[in-house]
Amino acid sequence: MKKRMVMLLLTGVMCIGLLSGCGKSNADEDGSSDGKSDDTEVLTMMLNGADSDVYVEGYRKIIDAFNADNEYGVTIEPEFVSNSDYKTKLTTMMASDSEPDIIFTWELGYLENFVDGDKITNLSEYLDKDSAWKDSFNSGTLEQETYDGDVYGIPTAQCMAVMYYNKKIFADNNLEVPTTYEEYRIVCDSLLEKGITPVALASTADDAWLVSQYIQQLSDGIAGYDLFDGLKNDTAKWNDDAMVQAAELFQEEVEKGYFEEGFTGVSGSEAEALFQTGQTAMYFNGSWEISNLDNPDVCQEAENISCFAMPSVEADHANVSVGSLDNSYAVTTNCKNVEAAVGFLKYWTNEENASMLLYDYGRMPATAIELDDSKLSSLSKDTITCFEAQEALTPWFDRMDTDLGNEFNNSSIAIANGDDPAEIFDALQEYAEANK
Amino acid sequence: MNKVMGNKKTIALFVLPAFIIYAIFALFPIAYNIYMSLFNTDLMSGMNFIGFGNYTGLFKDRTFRHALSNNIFMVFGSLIAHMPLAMFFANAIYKKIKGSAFFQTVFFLPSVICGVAVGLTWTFIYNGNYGLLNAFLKFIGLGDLSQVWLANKDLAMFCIIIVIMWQYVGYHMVIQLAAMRNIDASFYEAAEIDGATGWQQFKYITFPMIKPILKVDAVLIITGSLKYYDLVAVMTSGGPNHATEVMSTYMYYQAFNVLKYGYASAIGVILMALCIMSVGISNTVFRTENDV
Repeated sequence: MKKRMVMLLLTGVMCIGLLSGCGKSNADEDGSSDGKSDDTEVLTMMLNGADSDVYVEGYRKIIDAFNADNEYGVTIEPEFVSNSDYKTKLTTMMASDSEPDIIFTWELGYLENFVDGDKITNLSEYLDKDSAWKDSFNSGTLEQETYDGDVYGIPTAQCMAVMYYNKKIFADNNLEVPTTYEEYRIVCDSLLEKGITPVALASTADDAWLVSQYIQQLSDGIAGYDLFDGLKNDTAKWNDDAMVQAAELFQEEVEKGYFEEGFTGVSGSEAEALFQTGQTAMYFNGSWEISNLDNPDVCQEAENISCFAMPSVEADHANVSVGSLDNSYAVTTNCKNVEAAVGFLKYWTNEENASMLLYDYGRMPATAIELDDSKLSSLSKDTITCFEAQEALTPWFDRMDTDLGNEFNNSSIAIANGDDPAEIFDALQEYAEANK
Repeated sequence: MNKVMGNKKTIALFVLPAFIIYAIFALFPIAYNIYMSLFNTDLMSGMNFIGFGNYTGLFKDRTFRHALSNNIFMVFGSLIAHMPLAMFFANAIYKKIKGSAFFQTVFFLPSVICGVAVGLTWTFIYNGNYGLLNAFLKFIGLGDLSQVWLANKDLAMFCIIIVIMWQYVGYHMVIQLAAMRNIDASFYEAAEIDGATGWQQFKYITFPMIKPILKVDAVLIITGSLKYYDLVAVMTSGGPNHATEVMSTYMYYQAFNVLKYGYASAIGVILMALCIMSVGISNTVFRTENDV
């Protein structure tokens, strides 16, 4: 009997231990959120960016200024997640109903997944209420985040993929900025003759989009916007001749050695470092990299860097580039204070902040602002010149359709590794048809 | 005490807390996973019942078939590599060669290192530009063979399997060594008096005596290879172009990159079914007389 009592007692102690274990963590959680909500309401926000990205500093400035003084009495609590982890983290949070109040998002098919899942707040009424704000967006921007006539995302910037180049290397070797694809080949060939690697490129699984945007750019120059439009609306095929031709051109370039040796195993940051330290003459990436390239603190060659729009293969399709919106934000249905969240996005896109992001961090605003050329860095100025010359922009395929775009990125890796382009695109088309 | 333990109700009472935790974290998710595999869902826009649609889709899916064959390749690769190799090492150490304690530690060490660290280290070794392997090949005059190992779709899987072998051979060695140390020394004394050679001792004493443990070991190797995830995820994320995809990485890809949670669940169910099946098979293969 005594033993039994002891055992019961021990069991009781164990159970209490379990309960107190749970209880404690609850108390902690309550404590921390209480501590903050005493003062102000907190809105959580998840953004795309790593601490090594210079522009994150600019975003923090906006958030801090808004937190210091706003009419809604809210505090924005930002969390920065690096690009390679962002999608996984957001989809996990979305699927488990724990998404933050304001999220960074890509446009088109990416945001559409969440809109279809009733995860995103319809912002149309807020935009309609403030027509000055609505009209400040450049034409064609809000449209990319409009589903069934309603706007769900607010773009803060625009971007396009440009070819960054090192002016000093070009000058030292008497090279001119190429204006046609043939000239581009000549530039690369002469760099090779001098023993300089022409272009830095990465092609690991996490950075597959760097290769695919290059191939997409070539295809833009072969078949123009129509090809993108066809793929988007299911009237063109992935194994279109233009796609195959683009991939073949790319493979020719690989064979000639336009990209650094062993680029198939090089990560995005390693490739960028090659260009930043002047080991390659060119680097193809989005205009969001401006702040990482014209800042002498992070880029050795900062003062020598300029850019040009990748010349088209066919003259008929000049000035079509890979490009789209940049840094769109959406308010989730989890958000209790949509008014304040919209107020914050309005603050972010106001002329003062848009100008600050442009002049200090090279972010081309999605809203119309009065441009003061004297405040622009030379690289920003060159990029804006490229941007303004474009007649059409084709968004990245993985933004157009998450599933197919990912598969296109994987296919691009296979092409970089020398697989037969026709076979790869046949398989991709098959995949597209099977997953309609 | 014996009286208490004989009481079924008491046993149930003691087992209950562990069982509840087990149910919450294992049984319920398995059941929910099976349920979810019958739907087409991204977990946001509602669940769309499609019966066995995900399963029929899987067997038409080229990438899944490739992932499955990679897993099977891994099972046989690991079985062939781990069993004899680990047994060889275990036997050598058991025979108390010079410095056997040292070798035991050295062989076992990789399996206690976290998989991500191992993956990253080997990614550097295989790196095309500054990798140890390429540098070594150049050093011995085989520079022509150097390449970007993990980006080569034909070689990447071999590269990963070699790392898995390196990491786990010590683990299986220790399991088998423990079994060998349990064998009564008098068997060997008797065998020596009868004039049995080393090989005969191994064949007629050591091997039959450790057979039950080998069964456990085989189950560990097979299920481990089937659900393998970390090294592949760290080293190649299933790339290039799905060449090194295994079922678990493909499941992750379908769920978190493509948002097909129902489809991913179906992969999970197949994975589980294969693991259970493989346990059954290895039980039959390594059946010892005691079991019958």
